[in-house]
Amino acid sequence: MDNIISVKNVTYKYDDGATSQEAALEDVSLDVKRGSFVTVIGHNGSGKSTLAKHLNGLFLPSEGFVVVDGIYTTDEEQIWEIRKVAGMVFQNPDNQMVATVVEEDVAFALENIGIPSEEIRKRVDNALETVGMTKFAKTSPSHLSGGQKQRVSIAGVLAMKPKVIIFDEVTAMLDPLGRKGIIDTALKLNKELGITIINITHYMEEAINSDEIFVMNDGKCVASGTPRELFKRVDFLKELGLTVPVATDIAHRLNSKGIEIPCNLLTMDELTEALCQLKQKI
Amino acid sequence: MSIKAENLTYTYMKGTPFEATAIEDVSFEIQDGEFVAIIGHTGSGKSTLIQMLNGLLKPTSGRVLVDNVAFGESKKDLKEVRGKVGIVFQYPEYQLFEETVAKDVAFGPRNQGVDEEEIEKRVKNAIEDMGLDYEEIKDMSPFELSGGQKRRVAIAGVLAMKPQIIVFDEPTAGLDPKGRELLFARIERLKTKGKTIILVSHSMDDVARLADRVFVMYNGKLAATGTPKEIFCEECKNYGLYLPQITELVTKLNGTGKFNIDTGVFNVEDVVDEIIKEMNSNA
Repeated sequence: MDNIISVKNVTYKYDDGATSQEAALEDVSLDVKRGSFVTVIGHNGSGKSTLAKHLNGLFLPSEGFVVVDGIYTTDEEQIWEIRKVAGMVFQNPDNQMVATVVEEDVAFALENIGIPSEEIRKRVDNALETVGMTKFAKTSPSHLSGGQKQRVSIAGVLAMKPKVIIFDEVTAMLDPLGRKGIIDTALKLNKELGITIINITHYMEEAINSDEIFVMNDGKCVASGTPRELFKRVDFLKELGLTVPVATDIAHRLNSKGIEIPCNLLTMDELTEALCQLKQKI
Repeated sequence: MSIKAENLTYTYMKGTPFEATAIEDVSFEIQDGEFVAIIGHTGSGKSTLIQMLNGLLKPTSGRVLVDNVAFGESKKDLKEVRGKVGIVFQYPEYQLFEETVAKDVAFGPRNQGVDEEEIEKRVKNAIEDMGLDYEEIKDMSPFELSGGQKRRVAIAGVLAMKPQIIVFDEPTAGLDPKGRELLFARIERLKTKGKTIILVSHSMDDVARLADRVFVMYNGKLAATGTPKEIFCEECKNYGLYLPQITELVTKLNGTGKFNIDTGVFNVEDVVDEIIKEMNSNA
């Protein structure tokens, strides 16, 4: 698999006129494989969102470079090409609704870039169907729940036919059902449509199904790995103000108290099975 | 301080074609010093309900009694009840606006007409109650603080008004795991200091761990009340809710027939101890 996004030695300083300038990103390098589902975790202020905004050219690096699907984000002439390749969904659903009817909201960006109206119709219908919002096509966004609004936002990005979608804490304001709906949608886009997903989140459970996790801390990418590799480093993650899935936490604690159970379990089903097997042996 | 709701009903846009009943005939009583959590899926009426508790919304019918006294609509009544019942809304840090942390926290009590000496004392206490260093941050701009600190300064602004009953609406939304833990520890401490706490949250694990009683809202009605152990069973899925993760594990383990763990265990530490006990029981 090749890399759809490459971040090389990126340093970023906010140009806000402040005298003491701490870098929001410091020498960050990472690669995202085409078609993968990647999760970025890190404490508040660790640089996750700053990183995300580099991935579609909203921010340009102070040093280093970012390549998206073969295009350097500093290439001004191709910036709209990059935004087509890499779409982004943000945290607050209410800040992303621009139209008074759901299907018009989904069509907004397409109209902006001059897609013919028949093609728009097709893309909007497809996008709404993919996110399971077809029956709300004629509804006003103000009548939707937060989770439904976020699915409409995703449809709006999807209609642009992106190769990558970046989710910047999109589930932070949702209830558990809404959150599950969004994560299921993201997984579906990844598995069925082959869209690369980059999910930035504070919920460790959302990371369980990802191919790779990147850990940000104080502007640096300090660790990466598969969920199984990474989450067994419980003490390391807790030191960074993060945590691990509850099942992993319990397995880790049991292990440290002499129960011989693997430390790399991720789900309650895995934990239940491991405990049952162990009990049988006793 | 106790708070009581009697047959509360709230209808939005009454008398128009858009009329919608958000709250229907809700009654409850919360005792002095109790910690009650209100849960329910989006749109179940939680936010509408809490806004009636200090008169931000006036019930279409029914009434609220704070400390056994019903309050009316007069300015004096509302001012008084808002001094008793403080509401911390979602993302309260969006409401920070003063030049310094101390001024921001002082805003509420100053509006209440509290004298300057008392204000300073309250500001200091409120900031410290939120686990922050008063001397270190009092002269800082609120916008220099981290996300979790901003949130806690905003909450300190509510605490400085010395409410006896504090309502928190999703206080940890958007915070990282460490920030969530710190804030919940502080809320727990407020309870030990005698405050009555009402927590609205989607985080079932935290609700189960912290609350004395849980209220379930469903379609604008108070559908169930009980201890966390009573509420978090298979039935709660009927209300569009999830079990706490710990309860899910205990249910799964017990379901295998090889374990028999109390479903009233909600702490990671406690469930670990219970599992160890069970592992050794047949040894």
